[in-house]
Amino acid sequence: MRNGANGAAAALIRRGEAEAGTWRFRLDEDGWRGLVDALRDDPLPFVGLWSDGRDVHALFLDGGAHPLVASVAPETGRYLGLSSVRPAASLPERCLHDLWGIAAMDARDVRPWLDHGVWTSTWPLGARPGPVSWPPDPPEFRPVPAVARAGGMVQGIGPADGLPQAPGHLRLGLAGGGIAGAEWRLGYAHRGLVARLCGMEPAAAARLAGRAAAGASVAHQAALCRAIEAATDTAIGADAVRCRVILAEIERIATHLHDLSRIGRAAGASALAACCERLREETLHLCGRMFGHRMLMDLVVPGGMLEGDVATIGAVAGQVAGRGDDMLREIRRHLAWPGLAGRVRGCGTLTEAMARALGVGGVVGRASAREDDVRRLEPGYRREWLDSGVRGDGDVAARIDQRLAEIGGSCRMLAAARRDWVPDGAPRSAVRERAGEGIGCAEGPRGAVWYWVRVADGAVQAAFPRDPALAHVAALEHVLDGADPEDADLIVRSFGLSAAAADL
Amino acid sequence: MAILRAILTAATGGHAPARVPVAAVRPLPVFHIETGGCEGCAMELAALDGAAYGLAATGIAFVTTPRLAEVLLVTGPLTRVMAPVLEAAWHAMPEPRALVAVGACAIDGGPFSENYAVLGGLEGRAPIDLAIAGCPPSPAAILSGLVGLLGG
Ligand code: SF4
Repeated sequence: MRNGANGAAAALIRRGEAEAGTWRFRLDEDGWRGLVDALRDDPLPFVGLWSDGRDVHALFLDGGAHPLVASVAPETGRYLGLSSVRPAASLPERCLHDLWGIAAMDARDVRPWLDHGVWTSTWPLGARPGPVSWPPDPPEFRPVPAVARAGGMVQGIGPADGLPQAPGHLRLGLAGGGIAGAEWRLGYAHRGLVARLCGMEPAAAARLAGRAAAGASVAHQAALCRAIEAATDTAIGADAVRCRVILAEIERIATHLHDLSRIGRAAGASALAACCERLREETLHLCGRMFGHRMLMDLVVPGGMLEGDVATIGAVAGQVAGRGDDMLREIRRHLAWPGLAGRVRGCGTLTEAMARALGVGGVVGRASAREDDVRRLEPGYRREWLDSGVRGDGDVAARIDQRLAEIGGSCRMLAAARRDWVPDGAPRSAVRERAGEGIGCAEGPRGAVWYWVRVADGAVQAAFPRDPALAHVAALEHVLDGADPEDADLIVRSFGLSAAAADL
Repeated sequence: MAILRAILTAATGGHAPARVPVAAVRPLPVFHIETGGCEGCAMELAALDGAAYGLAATGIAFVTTPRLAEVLLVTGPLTRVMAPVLEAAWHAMPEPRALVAVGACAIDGGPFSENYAVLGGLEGRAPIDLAIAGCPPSPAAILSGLVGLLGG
């Protein structure tokens, strides 16, 4: 256990009343207030914030290894917010209020986020959903003083820009040739995933989680399945563990290639984009032919893997791994595109301190020197497999480089996972009929995906998904501020932001 | 979404048949809107528009404004927030125009049926000229569907 494991904040949480295993504790109002105080000086990383309709829960990762949830019952619909000490909690606070009607006190920002005023009710998941006022209030954007002062302008992009991506609106203040204030308006793709998961049988829930965010379908499936398996005390077989690792790494390669191709396009490096598009298509085509699912949906199920041939999964792993060196050589050749290095170096820099403050992990965090990778906690991974390291520069160049290193790392993992594997032929066990609560995670291509679930009577009773995209939103606002407007698209691409994954 | 249905129906003059006349020298311009899905269909469209598929050679081109489009291609379930955006895009298009629903979500809501935030699919709400099923459909399936529109 590393330092932080015995930190003050974690100790305060553990002093609460244990409600689920050794990882979720109930605090009373004073205890919660003490926790918020302690978080001011304690680096305990914040992961997610949600409600189950009754309590408010906050997930932290103690010592980078132990999920730890603090729960508090709101008093008259309010609780003390975390955003004053954890800026990363600001958007989650706004989501929580929009969905459950529970307000964060002392919050950095209390404007609606997901709710644009056109839902059938306010606080749809709350104990008492409210009526909707018509017409909806216009969105309230942060003022951009520099624009008013310097006589600049405000540019809005989206939610329908014709590009193949989920809808979102980016508002840029432009003054003096640079970006003076950037703000996202999302919520257009909110589909009510939490509401849909509640009441579903585990298998159906996993299928739906596979449609939370297409670029991280395996990660969402696996994280939810792990949460359900933890809740029901279901053990899965060694083959299933290995298959999940293989699918996750194939997904990482495919999504990294997708993001690299979008970066290439935004940077005008069309040969780089084309190369990544062809390589990605090769991988997806292979998956489609072998699994019947190009984007690997519906393959991970609670209890293990979909019935099927484990040998096929091994064979695909071998084939993708075998292409690794060639893939990287081809991509690297196109990185020499004239002018590309000059455009991406020093562009859109996210410092390690900001990445930490805003809760940015995943490939973007690792390109900003943050050693943040929940594969360390996932079954089936060996520590020595995680050898692609971190980059220190935090710019677009580092994010490109980090992705390349990770594609190489994933290929090596695929080869290793296959090498000493003797399938025992039982990829799936039955989910036990047990009531309980569980938490599960998976390092998706763009960062850590977490699920919390409560299961009873063979169905999901309450659930919460955490996707890294929400942290990207806040970090992008920070990074875009002051950047060259010409680079805005490139910077956004380099994060691999998915509005679909942020909205859920 | 009675409004959307009424508007789209009126705009197509009681649902004109799916014939989009294309001059042989000019590609068929398609404007894509994702109205709230998982981005799976959108990513397959990105693949289709990428180097692995020679889209330009097929006579189809994605455009970034509905004003230049003859086809409105929708992916994802229609969220309540995106309904007016979709309407506006449709109105901005010159006639004749066609509405294409790609993927289970856009057709009937797929995994994202009607709820507090979502209206569901376009089926029954707007006259769909072409529906391409799948969750998501492959780029090849999308392409063969779109090429069918070119035939006229
Ligand atoms: S149809 Fe399927 S793949 Fe396409 S957006 Fe909907 S859920 Fe995603």
